[in-house]
Amino acid sequence: MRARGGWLLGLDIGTSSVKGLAITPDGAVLATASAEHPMHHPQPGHAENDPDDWLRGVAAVVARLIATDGVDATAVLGLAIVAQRDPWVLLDARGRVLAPAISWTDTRTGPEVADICARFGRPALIDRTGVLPIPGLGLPVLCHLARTAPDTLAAARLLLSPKDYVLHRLTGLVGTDVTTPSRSVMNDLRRDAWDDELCAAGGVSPSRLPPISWQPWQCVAQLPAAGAALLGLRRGVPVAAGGGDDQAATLGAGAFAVGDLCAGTGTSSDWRLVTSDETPDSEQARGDLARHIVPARLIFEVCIESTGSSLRWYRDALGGGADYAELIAEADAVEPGAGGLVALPFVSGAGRAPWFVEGASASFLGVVSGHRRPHFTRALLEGVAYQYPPTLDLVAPGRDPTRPIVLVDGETRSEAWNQLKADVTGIPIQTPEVAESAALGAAILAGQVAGCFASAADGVRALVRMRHTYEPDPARHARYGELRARYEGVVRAIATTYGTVDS
Amino acid sequence: VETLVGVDIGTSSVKALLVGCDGTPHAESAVDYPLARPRPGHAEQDPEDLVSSTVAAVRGLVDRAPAAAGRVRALAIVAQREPAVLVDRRGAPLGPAISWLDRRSAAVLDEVCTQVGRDRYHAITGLAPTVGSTFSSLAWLHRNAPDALEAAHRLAFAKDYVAERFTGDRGSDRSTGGRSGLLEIATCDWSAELCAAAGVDVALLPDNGSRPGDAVCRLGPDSARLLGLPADAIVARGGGDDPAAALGAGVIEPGTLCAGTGTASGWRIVSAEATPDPSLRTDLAPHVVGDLYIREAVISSTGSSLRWLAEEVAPDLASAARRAGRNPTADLAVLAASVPPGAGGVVFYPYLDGAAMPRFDADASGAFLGVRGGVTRAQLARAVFEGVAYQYPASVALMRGYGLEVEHLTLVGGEALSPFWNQLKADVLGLEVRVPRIASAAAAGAAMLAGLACGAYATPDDAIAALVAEAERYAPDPDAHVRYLELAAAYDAAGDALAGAYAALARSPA
Repeated sequence: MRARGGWLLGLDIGTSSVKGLAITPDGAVLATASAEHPMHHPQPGHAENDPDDWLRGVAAVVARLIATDGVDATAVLGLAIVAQRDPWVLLDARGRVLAPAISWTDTRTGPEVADICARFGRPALIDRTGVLPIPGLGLPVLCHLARTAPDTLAAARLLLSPKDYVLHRLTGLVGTDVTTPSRSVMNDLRRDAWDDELCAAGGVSPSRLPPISWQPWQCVAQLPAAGAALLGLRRGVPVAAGGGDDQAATLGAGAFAVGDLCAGTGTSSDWRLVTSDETPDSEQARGDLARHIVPARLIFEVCIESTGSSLRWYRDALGGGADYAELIAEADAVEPGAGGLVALPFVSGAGRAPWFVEGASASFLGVVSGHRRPHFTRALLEGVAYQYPPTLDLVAPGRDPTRPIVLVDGETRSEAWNQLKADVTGIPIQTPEVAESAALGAAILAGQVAGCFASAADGVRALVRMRHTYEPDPARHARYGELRARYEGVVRAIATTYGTVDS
Repeated sequence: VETLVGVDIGTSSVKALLVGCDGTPHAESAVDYPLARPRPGHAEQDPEDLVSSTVAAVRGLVDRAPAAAGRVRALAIVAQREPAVLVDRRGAPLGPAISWLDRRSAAVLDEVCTQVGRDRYHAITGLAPTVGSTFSSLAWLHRNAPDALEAAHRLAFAKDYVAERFTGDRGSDRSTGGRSGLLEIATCDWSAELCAAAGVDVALLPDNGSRPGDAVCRLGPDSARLLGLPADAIVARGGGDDPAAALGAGVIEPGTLCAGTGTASGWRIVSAEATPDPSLRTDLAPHVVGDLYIREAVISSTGSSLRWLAEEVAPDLASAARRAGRNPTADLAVLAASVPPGAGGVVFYPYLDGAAMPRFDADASGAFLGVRGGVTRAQLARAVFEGVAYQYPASVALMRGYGLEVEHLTLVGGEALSPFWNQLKADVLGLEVRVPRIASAAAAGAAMLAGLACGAYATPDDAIAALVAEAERYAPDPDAHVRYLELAAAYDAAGDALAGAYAALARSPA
């Protein structure tokens, strides 16, 4: 019946890999696949991708999916691509790629951010575009190119996002959807249009940018012959406009209604609240506001830096060859409070939520003889989790604490780690069955263009299932309340040391 | 030439030295034993480990230099002065000895000292009230485990517990009670008042009327067989480890200084006066020589930080080093030396057991700051070495405040075996570091006491002339010193800021 009923194809072009999912409209996962692409670092701080690696990655993932038993290539009902939104692909008049695409992880554009903020005012920029201007975003990268490679920028007749570049190669279309420009710092959030003044600051006129004309769930093409050949699929497959990766991950976590909250747990932790409020956080500048891939909804996204990156550093430097599962299992045997040891997990700083402190670095405090590796690990896990409650207060003040939070991505593989977060926050934590939440969000869009789902809500009901709910333990939650007060006292006390010893 | 044996029972190992009366070193051996840490903050030693490790260490000397061991004229044992063994009527221990590193008695000590009066305690003992002292741990036992104290027939200090196994003699000496918190410093008698405050009957304590270097008895056939030494060898009364180390470093003149390096780093000034330090920053204790005293100030957790680093941060290195028969610290030094000064911005505060000299903050605890992505284990290791060395300049300044002219620093103990470590300290201090030929100064001091007991030496000066050889010298590198001055200034400034964090950590419910 499934083969007869066909399947949906969701694709996600991420920072380090393309991920894909083949799923039936009633929610049975037929196959998942991924293909890594290289990040090039020609100089320290530089990070670039070959745009055609993304296209090759998409083709490789589709090839792997349809090579899986039970996946009939001819039975695909619809496809959608979602992607990172920040990089620009520069194309010449004949549609050829002019230069590598500068990644959002590239750190060279700090001076440009300062210039832009000085010129337009940071609050005004946030108010216009919704996004906090930081290095690696669209406009700072264009300003950098205008200064360092003006000829290349002048030769670019068309600038596309990664997703729109791949769509362009598959369908010949030139366009973008209302969610993808949300990290360009060149968009007008409320009008879903390019901002002429900001585009001019980047040295490009809106005529060289794709029109913002699509809704993510809209069918923009029937897959033509050339695209079908590239992907090994039949001609005529309905293709959705697609959208941003974080938006898709939010939908893939089942979050589409106002007040729904989910968080990605990768290198950093990104908290995403679904809202209908179009007012950016321009004065307090704590998070980004962008359109959701669901009608009339937006996402307020707040980032905690250094969560996954702190754990990775710890595992590599102090884990003695143990993997995350082994380290967390050891730590789970230690009582809450880690025997008095406190870790501030700021290996990449604490410039974002909830502390917004410049120049922070990680530290371990309260170390006494008798503290062993499990105490350190537990302190680090607790240090990450202690950042959740103040971040929650900031993202969704006054939210009903019985309403669950959905967590996605790597950290959710550990049951003990999920439970610890539930205990610290006092809020039920849910984890979905499908870990590739951005690809799953894309599959919901694919189902909408295939006519399987009348709405995103229908798609969520059919495809998003929760694997487990972690209920907070009241006694532990009370204990963590005391411990967290202590932790916050320590965070405040050592803030004055940043930039002294480690500069 | 006849020979002497000196034994030093430390916190983590027993060290034994076999040396000719003329100063020729024949053999050294060390046997590690575990410090049990059943809970964070607790630290205990099994009394049987002390005995068996002493036997093993002496037998190690015999194995290494059997001919010289056959000519042993005398033997002495010195030891850490805090741990006490409660024994029953038959001499069997009633439980583990609570180590001086143990911190469980902090609250009890506070309470008892308030009852006695801190000034009164200090005036009697010459000591600042210290968690982990015999006084403090006994007071804890009195309140939390009174059964052991009630069942006790008598109390033996670590060294006396071990020596009794070889001699049958239960006596102690003038210097061993020097850090117990139970001794009247002016008279060197036990204080009935403080014993009562701790909840221990003064009658449980040993007779301490004799002096280090007095002859106790001959070893006799059974003990001689056990240890592998001649039966007619004289067992000398030993003493406290730190005063013995001062003797072993040749420091017996009032106003002279040496620094020991063990689990903690004890700095010792010889004094002829039994006047307690009103600032409470130095402790006063009997020397092992004459009617002299030593003033002691301790940098806490120096060696224990390195040991902790080896066990918890680099256990693979530590076990590889042990398999190859090396001291893990030497391998850590190689690791630390592989990265430049400054440790990539990481700093370490070595207050794993609280901070004494130079910060004197009982609330302090250990900390790593400045960790960023990409920081390596080598940088963490270097930060630990540097963090210990950064305690030295302020400590020298403190010593100068007592009127001492410090123009170089004599270092003894295990750390002094590492050239990297000595050079780092010289560079941080900007002073020459000198190391005697026998770095195991406490064991050397014990051998000197043995030599005094058997008549090999007529006076302590004779013993020093025979055993303390010209030092190795490490001159500071001027460029490195300038760099470390900057780094240490930043380190101290952040250390000041950390005081607030220590208070926040200590106040709270962990």
